[in-house]
Amino acid sequence: MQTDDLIRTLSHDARRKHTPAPVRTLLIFAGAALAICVGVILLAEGARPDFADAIAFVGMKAGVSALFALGALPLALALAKPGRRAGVWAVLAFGMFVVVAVMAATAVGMAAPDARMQAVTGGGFPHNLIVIPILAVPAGIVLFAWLRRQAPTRLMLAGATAGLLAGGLSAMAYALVCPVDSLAFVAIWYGLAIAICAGVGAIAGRWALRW
Amino acid sequence: MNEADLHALMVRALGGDERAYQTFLEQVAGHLRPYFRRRLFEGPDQAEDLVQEVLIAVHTKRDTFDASLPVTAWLYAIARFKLVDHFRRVKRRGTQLPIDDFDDLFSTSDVEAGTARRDLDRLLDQLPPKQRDVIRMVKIDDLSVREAAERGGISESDVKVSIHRGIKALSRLINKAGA
Repeated sequence: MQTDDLIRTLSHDARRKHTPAPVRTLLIFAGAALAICVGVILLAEGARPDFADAIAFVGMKAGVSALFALGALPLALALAKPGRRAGVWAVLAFGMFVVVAVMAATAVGMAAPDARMQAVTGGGFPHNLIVIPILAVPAGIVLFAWLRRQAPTRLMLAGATAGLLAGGLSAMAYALVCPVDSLAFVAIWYGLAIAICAGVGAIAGRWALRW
Repeated sequence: MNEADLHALMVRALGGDERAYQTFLEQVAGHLRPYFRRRLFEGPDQAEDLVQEVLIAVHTKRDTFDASLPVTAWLYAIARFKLVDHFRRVKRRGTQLPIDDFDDLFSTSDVEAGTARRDLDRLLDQLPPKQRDVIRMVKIDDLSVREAAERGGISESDVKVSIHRGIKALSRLINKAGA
């Protein structure tokens, strides 16, 4: 087809399509992703039995996780449209890992020397390192579906951001069942689990977000 | 056409102005053609394919244009994305189809193209240097008149006149050779 013919064909359909605002759709998709994570984890493991007593710790863990998710939202919106500056938002979103690393170092430093090991490992293998990324897969699929409705042009970064957001949401849900109440544990292993999600998202984004 | 003009056209187009949209797309194609030709080794056909791909992408994703931001930033982000995507595709395809298998398919036409190229070079060498250079730049290397003027350090009208005179001289030379 000649380019001029193509232009004539396209120009007959000039008017904007009026797709819904990306902010609204992103919040809806992210909300759906969070609901899936909460539903799956409660069905699979059930809330921790001492949920009412441990509400403060649950809130702390879910709060740290929510910061990752919240940090990723504006970056996802910036990357959804071509030609937008995303640098500041990227620093904000991925800067959360630095914040958590400082939190981890402080918490470990403040723990009594003989309690350090317990604070870091939570008394066993950090279960969440496996559960959070797995739980993030359906959430990530939902968020990738949102990105595919937009026009991301930096696919790895967009994929990493969707992964970061999915990881944050998944970690929020996991906080409902997680039995370990130690700030050092949360900072180290939640941070690492969410970083894995972002890494997987970056790799998947390269092919899954093409348009 | 500059950012402000293009931006105004796009805003009118999204409001349903088909003529503005057609002009906008023509302008975009005009901007992108040299952009891709400079960056691709496969020649003008491949560049034209990418121009069309970007036009379609611009059309299907036109809702992601934000009228409070420059339209050129939006356009070039899409163009760059399609270019990178193209390079990635070529790289993948390249590993699956070793080019040696097609050696004999291309060799004859290559020789012919080479001969034609040599004949053209011999003809061009008989022209005054200025005419020869602008014809090379504009007619063979596909530069725009403005780019040729910048590169040669002469005015645009000088480029046009030189091309015109050069082509006349070439046709005289060809007729003489044929006679």
